[in-house]
Amino acid sequence: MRLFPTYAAAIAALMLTAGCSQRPGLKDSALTEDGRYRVTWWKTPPNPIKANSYFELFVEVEDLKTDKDPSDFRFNATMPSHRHGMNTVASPWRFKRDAWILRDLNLHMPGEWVMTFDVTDHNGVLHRASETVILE
Amino acid sequence: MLAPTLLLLCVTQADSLGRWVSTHNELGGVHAVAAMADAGDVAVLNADTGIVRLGLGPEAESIDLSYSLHRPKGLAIARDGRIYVTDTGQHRVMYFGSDGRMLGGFGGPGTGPYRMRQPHAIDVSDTITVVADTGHDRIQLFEPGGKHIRNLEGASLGLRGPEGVAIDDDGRIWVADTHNHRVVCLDQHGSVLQNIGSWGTFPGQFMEPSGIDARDGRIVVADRLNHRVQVLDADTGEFLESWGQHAVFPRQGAGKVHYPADAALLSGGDVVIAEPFEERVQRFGRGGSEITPPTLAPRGVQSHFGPVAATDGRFFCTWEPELRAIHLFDLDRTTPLRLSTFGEPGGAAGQLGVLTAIEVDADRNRIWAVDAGNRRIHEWTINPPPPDQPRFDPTMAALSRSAPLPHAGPGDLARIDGDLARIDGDLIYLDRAGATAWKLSDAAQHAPIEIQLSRDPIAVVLAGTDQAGQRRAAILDAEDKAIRLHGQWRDAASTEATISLSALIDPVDLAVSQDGSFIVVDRAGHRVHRFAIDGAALNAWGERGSDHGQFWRPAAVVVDHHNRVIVLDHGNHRAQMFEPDGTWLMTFGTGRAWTRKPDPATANKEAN
Amino acid sequence: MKHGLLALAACVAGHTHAVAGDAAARLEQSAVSASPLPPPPPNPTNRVADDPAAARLGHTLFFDPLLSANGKFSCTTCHDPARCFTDGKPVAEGLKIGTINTPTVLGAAHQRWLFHDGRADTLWSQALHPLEDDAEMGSARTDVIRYLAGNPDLATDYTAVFGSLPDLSDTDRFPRGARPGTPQWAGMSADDQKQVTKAFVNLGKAIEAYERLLEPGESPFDRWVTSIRRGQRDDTLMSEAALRGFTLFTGEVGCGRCHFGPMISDLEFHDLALPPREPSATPLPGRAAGYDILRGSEFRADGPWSDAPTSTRARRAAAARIGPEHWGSVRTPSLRNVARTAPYMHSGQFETLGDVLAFYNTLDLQVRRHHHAEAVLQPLNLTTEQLADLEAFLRSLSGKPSPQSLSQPPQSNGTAAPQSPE
Repeated sequence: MRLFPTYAAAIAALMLTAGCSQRPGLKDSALTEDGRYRVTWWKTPPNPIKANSYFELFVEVEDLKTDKDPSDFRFNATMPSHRHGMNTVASPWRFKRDAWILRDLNLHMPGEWVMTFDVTDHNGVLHRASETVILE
Repeated sequence: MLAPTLLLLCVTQADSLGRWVSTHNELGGVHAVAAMADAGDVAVLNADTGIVRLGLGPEAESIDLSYSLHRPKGLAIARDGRIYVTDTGQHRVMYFGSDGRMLGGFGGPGTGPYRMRQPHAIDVSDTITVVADTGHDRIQLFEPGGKHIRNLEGASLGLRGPEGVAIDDDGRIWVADTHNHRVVCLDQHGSVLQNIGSWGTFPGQFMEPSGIDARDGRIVVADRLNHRVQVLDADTGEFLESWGQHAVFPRQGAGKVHYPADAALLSGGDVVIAEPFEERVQRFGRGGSEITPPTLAPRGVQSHFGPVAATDGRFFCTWEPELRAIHLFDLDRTTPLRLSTFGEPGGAAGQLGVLTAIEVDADRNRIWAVDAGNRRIHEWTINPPPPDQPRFDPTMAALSRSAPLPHAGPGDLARIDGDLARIDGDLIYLDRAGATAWKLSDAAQHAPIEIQLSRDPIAVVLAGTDQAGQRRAAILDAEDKAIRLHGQWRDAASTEATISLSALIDPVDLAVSQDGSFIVVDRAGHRVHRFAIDGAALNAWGERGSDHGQFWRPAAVVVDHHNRVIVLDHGNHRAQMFEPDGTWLMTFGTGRAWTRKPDPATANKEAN
Repeated sequence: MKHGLLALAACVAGHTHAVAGDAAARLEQSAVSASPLPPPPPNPTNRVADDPAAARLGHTLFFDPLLSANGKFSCTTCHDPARCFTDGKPVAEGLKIGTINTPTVLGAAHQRWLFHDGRADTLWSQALHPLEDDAEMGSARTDVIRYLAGNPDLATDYTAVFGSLPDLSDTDRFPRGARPGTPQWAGMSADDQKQVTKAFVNLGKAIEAYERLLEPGESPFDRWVTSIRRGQRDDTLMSEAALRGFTLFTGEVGCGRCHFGPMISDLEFHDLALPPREPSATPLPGRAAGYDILRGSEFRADGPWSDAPTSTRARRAAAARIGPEHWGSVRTPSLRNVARTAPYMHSGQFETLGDVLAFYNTLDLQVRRHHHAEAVLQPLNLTTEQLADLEAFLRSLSGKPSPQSLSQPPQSNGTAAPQSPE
């Protein structure tokens, strides 16, 4: 785990600069289908996501209905028309009670990818937000 | 669209067991095979009829045990000839003398240590009897006389719906851990000695392994959704060989394997497998002949529809077990148009295990499915194209929620028409194994419903509430073979009326047509029946076969908003559409659809 | 009315021109993303990856048949410099006839995964597999190191880079044929095993250092792209057919879905449902089994012999996801020099580029083996002329041959390069 303090510093730097008018990286957000959570993610440069290039995501989850912490968060990306997923495992590391870092993500083909952000609440119910990206 | 060949080859060496010896047809829903006392032949169990055949030869004795069994799925023959059967539908084990006389039983429904829930398999040795208590995710150990010893269960063992169990020559217990897609070897205290395989298709991986046997240092596994048999070494767990080529033409035997449910090893090394889907048993062994390589499948080959279906408005849903994907069709076209296929296999968040029930709501663009493999209820939001601009889009449905459902198992889903936008109050889940009904809630706090249910409620249809405010439901009871009406139905004599289905062999699903008549599908009878609300039999159609208008083990039925009856013709890998009077309208799958029966000359050309 | 029509015509013409302009811009964008091939990425798991002295040692070893059990097979037996570092055969032939077509070594330093199934995640670990594989060179690490130690030139070169070699002269302590899986190896002490393996790994790292120097070479396509980058696009640098072929390649035809980037490959794995070489051949598990082999190997990027087991590269290699779609999937080859590396596909199923393109064109030969394969390919249904154009483009990816100095054994202090016996 000795890499994580370095990471934390990097993300802290990212967050500090996020306060400025020039946001670093790509920021986007989506609501889960049922409107319970808002998922916001920042991507480390380069932007936009390039096919077959490794990237990291910093994700924040906001519960819009209760004040309980989400119990779990998972990320996945698939190309539904090709019936395959990523070739890398997205292992989220819980950075704060409502924020996760995902590294070594790689969407290895150009085309349409669906990224899914799965938040599990304290009842074990999973809520999904998804975002489609088309990589050139 | 091209139709590539489905090809699963084996390593056929000189001493391979995977050489085809013989096929034995006409055995009904043969769900279990067990080596007989001297392991020279097998006994087979027909789950539809409860009849056990002692041997495969033409003179083999048939023993009718139906008087005491309901949908039995597991069989074992003790050394003294006693017949042990897991009486799956009644959640117990029964044992009989070799003449069929009932000697006793143990188990029974409930949750106590020796109670069972849908036990699927059993094996007996001289010293112990082991039962796969499938619905409770555990293995039960008994003394030969029936005294309970202990259970092998628990979160660290983590069994999920194990459907096969076998005792090897050294007393180790081998389990086909079906919904974990693996095989585990345990000692008699539950310690894991070997943990073999994962979900997948290459050698050493499994997709719903459902039967297992052990003898002479070998383990044989019926690898159901991979349509093959795998052989492992009992001491090292090492993969030795596998064989099984998916059938290309309907009912193709000669060594082609199709949804094997059980396997048995004979003393000479031969392997016998049970294929209830094909109503047959096949034997393989060193002395057999090479299995001929598969031919190219005809274009427009059918789809592997699984045994669930739902419809509302223009949508029709079914699913494909091998892909773990749901198919969504638009019915308001000349022939049903596939709009989307979505879903992926796995046990992780949002992935699909085994779906046992589906519901769809066309007004609110929602699909729900009960996932018995992952013990969850999933909900999708559909973003359909405008009716006049249909297109295929694998991203058309987005998973919006997935809630735990501890009682997920075989059963049925029904949707109450209403204005609510949440699961809460929208969905009723009929838990067949537990014989209870649940109202499903958003927050996973599912509430049991007070409703009188018999011991094997297999399907439910809801139709609002009656004037007295009571929920109107029709529940198909597979044990008593009847439809029970709850609440006041139009023209029904009183509440709680019963429509008898005693003329049917194996009623498995129910739908209501627009005129209020009930459509029931008889799986083992390969027929569809229609009844009036007063119980009068109106008409019936279909027969066993593969032609249009014929069925092979039809598994589900729905009525669409044009009052057309859609039958999920499971064994023929397709769906068929009829008028309520039985007039055939069309046959469809995920490939082409037929609206006219081809003339025999053309059909022959296509087959060649 | 006439004015209206003229206006309309002008609009359409303008729009068409704009569309054409867009297409040209997209074409140039695709071109510059595919060239030039930059220097290979650093490999921190091998501390001598860019060390010239290590490269010189690796160079010598690459050509040395005495590393093999019978003294006849060197790396160049299958990776023949005169044939673009392949062998022109459908499947590799070492001590036994294998099952996999030999890939080129040119540009291999750019690959993320080695072998058709990704069973090695670094070049240095890849080099160690054939040495101990009974179907290839069939030797054992103790014998290889003993040979090295017994050859004064090699020993000197080794020591200059890695320090002293272990003394393996005691054949009781270091038996002949000792390698993991043999009783001889099991009989050795853990320390002795470590000594031998350490030297063996160093040998692989030296070979990697040499292989990193083997680049695919500048091709006509590269020169054309250079002209685009300079803002002086010169279409005469490519044949007309090749230009048309490139437009097809990156356009709707969709080759660029898997063959993109400077290596003209995504460096990942796909299942094309290719027919097997022989109908009765055992189905290839591909990536799914390859990853298991990698994780079980001691020579992983994040393993005990890596010089940077916690590097980003090592971490990424350890984080691969294997799903149902990976059974039977095989590494996407780079298309640089593809015209020179016949036969084609992982078992050498296709003799010529024409055969390959014909396969993609109709997909009639596909053999689908399971339900979970990805579904990327659609038949192309191109005309004969279009297929010829595609082939012309593929031929334009042939680069200048490797420098003479790298394509033959190095001369060492005036002594001749090692000769194979008899």
